[in-house]
Amino acid sequence: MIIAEATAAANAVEYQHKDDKLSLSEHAVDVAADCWKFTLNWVGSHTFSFVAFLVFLGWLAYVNVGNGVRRRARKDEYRDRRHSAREANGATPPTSTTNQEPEE
Amino acid sequence: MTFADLALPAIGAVLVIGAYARDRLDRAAQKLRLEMADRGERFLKQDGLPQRVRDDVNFMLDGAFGYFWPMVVMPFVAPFAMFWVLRKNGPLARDAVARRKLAPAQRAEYDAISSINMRVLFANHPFLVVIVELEMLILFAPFVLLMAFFKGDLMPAVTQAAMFSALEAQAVPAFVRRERHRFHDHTTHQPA
Repeated sequence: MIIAEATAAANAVEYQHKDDKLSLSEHAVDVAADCWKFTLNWVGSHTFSFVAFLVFLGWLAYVNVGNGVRRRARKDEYRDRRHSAREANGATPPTSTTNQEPEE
Repeated sequence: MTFADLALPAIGAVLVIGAYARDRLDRAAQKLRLEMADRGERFLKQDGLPQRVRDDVNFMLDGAFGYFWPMVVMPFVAPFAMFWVLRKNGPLARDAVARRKLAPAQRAEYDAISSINMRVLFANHPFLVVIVELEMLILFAPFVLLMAFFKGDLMPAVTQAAMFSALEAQAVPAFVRRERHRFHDHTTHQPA
């Protein structure tokens, strides 16, 4: 209902095209208004698709955030394992040499 | 039905499958990462290891979760860097010298760690690894044949893993160094 009203309101807007007198910013506003109008029209006529798309995006974000959290946990687990492996192999763990310049 | 009609569902399917596949691959790789951490740290504790080998094992351990940017750059750099890596007294030759200094048991362990690292790398960057492997196959196989033809050397010491490691660690050093520091900063404990 809201979408239908917004579409009707957007359709009611009349643009005064004075191409020879419009500045760049006015053109930009004109184009943005057209885009917005198109979006409202599209959403109005494809409500189901739009809602489905939003649900899909939300679900995808949920899955990816979950993946990120699990990956972070795996990194922590790996770091702890390395640390304990170092300790198990001696009191003075060798420092990583990866910050050194490669030998040439 | 046009290509444009198929494009959107195809992108959606790739995103869905990709999201699940990424997590499952990551989970599968975790066991190997932990094994690599145990064996790698035990290996590094030994005295008398050549510095080059020590650096290489440290590099593998630090990069257990992938060096993203070097791997993205690698498919573009690899065709050119391959011959730079293979040159006389180049990285691969120096790696081979360092490897020869290892005792047989150490060498076997080093190879095992490298092998685990290759699998972890594959899980981290499946598509990029396949691309680089194909590049290596297409470019390196004729090179070996040419070497055999002209110099009588089939280069048995140059293994796929050694080649990949040299490319990864040295072909894109700037990226590697940056990623290494980034990874190192938040995953490695400072010694007490």
